[in-house]
Amino acid sequence: MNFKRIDQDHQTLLKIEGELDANTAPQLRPVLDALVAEERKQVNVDLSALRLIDSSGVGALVSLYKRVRASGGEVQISGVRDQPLAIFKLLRLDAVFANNASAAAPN
Amino acid sequence: MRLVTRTPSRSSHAVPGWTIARGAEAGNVRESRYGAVEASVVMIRLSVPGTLKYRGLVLRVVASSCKLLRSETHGLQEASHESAHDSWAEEFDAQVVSAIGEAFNNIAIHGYRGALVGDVQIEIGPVPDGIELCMMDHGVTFDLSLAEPTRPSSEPDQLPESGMGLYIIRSFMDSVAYRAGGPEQPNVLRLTKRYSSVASGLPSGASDPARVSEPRSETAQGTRSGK
Repeated sequence: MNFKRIDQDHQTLLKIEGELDANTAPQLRPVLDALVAEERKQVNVDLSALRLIDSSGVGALVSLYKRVRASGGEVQISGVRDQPLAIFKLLRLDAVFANNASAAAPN
Repeated sequence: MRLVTRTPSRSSHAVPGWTIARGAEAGNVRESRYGAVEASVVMIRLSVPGTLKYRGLVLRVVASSCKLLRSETHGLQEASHESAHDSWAEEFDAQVVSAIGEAFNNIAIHGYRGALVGDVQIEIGPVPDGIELCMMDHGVTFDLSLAEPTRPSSEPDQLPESGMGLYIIRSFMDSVAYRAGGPEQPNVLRLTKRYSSVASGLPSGASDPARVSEPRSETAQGTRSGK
């Protein structure tokens, strides 16, 4: 799993690549915690290069989503496809994030 | 780590990286240490330490096995229905890999917790209209019947952050059966996935174009006990 964080004003683009699972989700937790602690107002998560996700990875993203919203921010998730899309559909996360499918990312 | 593949066909050939044995050697399935799989023709066996470090390897082997077994069944039909096949095949692989990943997580995180360590054996083989996967371990017993999953809420503030693994397994697989092990016997999780459960465009042999949206039926056996 690799990730890249790009900040621009109040927006953050978080691009996650590879596998987000029970093995790698703990590595991402500090990054997500920092976004929450900094009270970022708009977090765009790009999953277009995410190849695999499991319930641990989903839990990490859901935790980010709930905590950012609780502090008045928004989380948009885009680019979900292949195996991650199958998981998102099953858990109905695609419906939760349906309005965010074309989320714009900062340059 | 051990990886052996066996097929019930008549001739023999080699695939780089894997050992393929055909013909009479398919009868080796009866030599399995694990009685729960005696009724099936086992084609592929993998044994890895039951730690998350080997999760990725397991899933790569499972994904490759899905393709290998599917090509044995549907290979001749791919040419004229390539795009339809690709679509349901990708869905099939994604669902199987997702379920096996969650099952492996359960063993690595909960079965072999603390000082308890051991291997996970995985056997993958064909069944009519699909594949069967058996996962065997000697860790703490898991009780499927007491861990009834519910469909996660889609309300943003009630989205679950954990406890989705069993729901994923049961939803994506057509049958889920678990047998608790004992002092000399492993825990056995048997999962079956039918091609027709995802293959609305399957050229022939497809009987059910239904797509997974609710948990499938399953049989659960076993009792809760620490080992």
